[in-house]
Amino acid sequence: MPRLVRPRAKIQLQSIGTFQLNEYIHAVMFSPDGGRLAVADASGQVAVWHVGSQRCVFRNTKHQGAVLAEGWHPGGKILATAGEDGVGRVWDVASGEERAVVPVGDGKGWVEHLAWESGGERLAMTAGKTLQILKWSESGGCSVEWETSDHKSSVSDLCWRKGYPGQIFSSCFGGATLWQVGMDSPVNTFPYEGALLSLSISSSGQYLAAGNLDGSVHLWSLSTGQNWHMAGYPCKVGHVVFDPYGEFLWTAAGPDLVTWSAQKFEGSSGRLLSSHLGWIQAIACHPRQRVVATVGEDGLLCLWEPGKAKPRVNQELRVSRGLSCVAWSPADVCLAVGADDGTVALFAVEGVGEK
Amino acid sequence: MKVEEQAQVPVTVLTGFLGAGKTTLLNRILTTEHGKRVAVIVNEFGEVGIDNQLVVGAEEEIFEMNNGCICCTVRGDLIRIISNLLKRKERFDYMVIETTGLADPAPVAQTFFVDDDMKRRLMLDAIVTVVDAKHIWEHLDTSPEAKEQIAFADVILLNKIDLVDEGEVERLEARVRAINPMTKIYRTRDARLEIERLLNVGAFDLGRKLEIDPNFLGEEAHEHDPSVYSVSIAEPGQVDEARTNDWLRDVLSGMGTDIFRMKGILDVKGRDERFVFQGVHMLFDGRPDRPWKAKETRGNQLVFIGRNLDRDRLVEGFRTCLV
Repeated sequence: MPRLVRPRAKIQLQSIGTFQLNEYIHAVMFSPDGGRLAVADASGQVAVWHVGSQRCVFRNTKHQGAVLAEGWHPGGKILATAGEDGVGRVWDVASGEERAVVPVGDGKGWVEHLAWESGGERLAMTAGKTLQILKWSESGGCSVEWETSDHKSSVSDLCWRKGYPGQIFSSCFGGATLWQVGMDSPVNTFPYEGALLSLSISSSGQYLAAGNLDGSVHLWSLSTGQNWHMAGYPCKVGHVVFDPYGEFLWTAAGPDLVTWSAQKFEGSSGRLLSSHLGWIQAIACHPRQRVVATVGEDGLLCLWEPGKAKPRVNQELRVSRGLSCVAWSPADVCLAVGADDGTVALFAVEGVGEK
Repeated sequence: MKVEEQAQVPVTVLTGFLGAGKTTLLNRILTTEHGKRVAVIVNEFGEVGIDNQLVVGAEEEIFEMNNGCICCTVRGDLIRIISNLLKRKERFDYMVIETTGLADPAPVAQTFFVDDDMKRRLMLDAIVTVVDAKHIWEHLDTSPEAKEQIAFADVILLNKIDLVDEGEVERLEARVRAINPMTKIYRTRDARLEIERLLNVGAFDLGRKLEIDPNFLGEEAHEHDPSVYSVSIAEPGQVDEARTNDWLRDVLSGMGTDIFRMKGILDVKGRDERFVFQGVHMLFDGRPDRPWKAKETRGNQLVFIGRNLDRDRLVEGFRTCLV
């Protein structure tokens, strides 16, 4: 019986502009108000663009070697960056002033990860086996509050635990650990016989997921201690992301994107979403609209609607050979894509979340 | 849409005890005009460093992939560092990895066969071991690592030969041969050696010619090393493909932990081409190679290097494969 359906709005990418840096883009990140975009590249450059005027409002090359991580303070004025020179740097973006330079661990290893606590009181950074927590205040600046090197290998990922001030997860070979800043022994450990590569916490705060080197995903319930193992990936699982809609766990292994229902893990099976031809480099979920972006070394940007087998958008961005990272603006339906040749492209996405 | 297949970057792994001459050799590789942009991963900063060259320090992190099996260990630090280096626009076209004198070469080698990303983007070229001709003797008797580094090597530099007399070099070479009959041995001073003998050797490339020097096959070593040694098999006749597969699978699952390296050329019934194989511990790679030449004597040559190898069992097992 034919039935009347309302056609789905077509999603379209509208180019807003492109910027060029020197080298592989390691990170793109919108400020909390969506007004500015911070970009970090492998030549040591950090730049911030004003999205509305497309003017570069901040640029420097103080890092020696690649900038591997960056993060906006939730207040939107301060940007932290870290990289191969073994230090984390904290910038006042408006004035361009360097507010702090902090060596992590012995200051010789690469600083690969950083994350602000949701309230902005603390900044976590990792270099090798060291996880270092800085206390931050607008008046007092940065000071080292606590650190631990009690990891079996270099830390592969970290994330703060929402709703529990001073609690942070780290992952490495041998499992994940939940730390309380200031305490030497862990709050909890999540052992695994293998190397974890990436971590994610579900939006409810109930589950911890890890993507593993051995081609599997491991999942722990933080309330019951129960755990699940999802095997069968063709290669290592480099990315795991719980979407903020409470619907799915998104995982990427090589070119394969696989989603798992975040409501019920027991007995459920993963769903393979095929679209990428090369390795997926990043997954990003819009914080409010139900849309998830993936980018790959194949140069493809795909936009997915949770629960749908086919991407709503599957587009080769003719900006570069391969794409390296992607981020959504928290304010608008607008995204930034970084490429392996130093190109950054901004797009408005039309047809998402509009009535 | 394009998924460009990028050429795999060859990797040379450089092993050897502290003071054997690794750093001298590294500096030689970095300064010699060979037209390659070489990236070097060193175990310690400070000793090597030439302007414009990419030198990165690494701290050994061994990842067990699977229930602690020795054959499934990789170097997590290398995976992390190399995948970052590969992102640079200004790509390097050769990579040299220096290991510490006490490092086990197996996890380094296995990294390039086990990790998916490393496997597709890099290709292990050869393991090169620098041996201090004067001081190696003390290590050979006391350190299992010294023997393992010799056992794993595709190329060995007997270095500092100017510090010992000719007879001692002969004796050392015989001892090295007893451990590893398939390695290429060069006698050097100041680690001086033509770059072509070091880089792009293709020791792990089955597509390149696999040759086993018949002089080193079958003969019993004069200086038999009780802990690390080789078993060579040279037998005429043709083998049955299915039976050989079964036997090799048994050998790998039963003795893979003890087998460091193996190589072989087989005359398989029903095939006009040589069948060649090689392996590191339980990692195995085998395929048909070039056709047998008209003047060539067909036959089978196999070399296993490792510890606790049961020669009789290997030989008997192999004979059951013969047609």
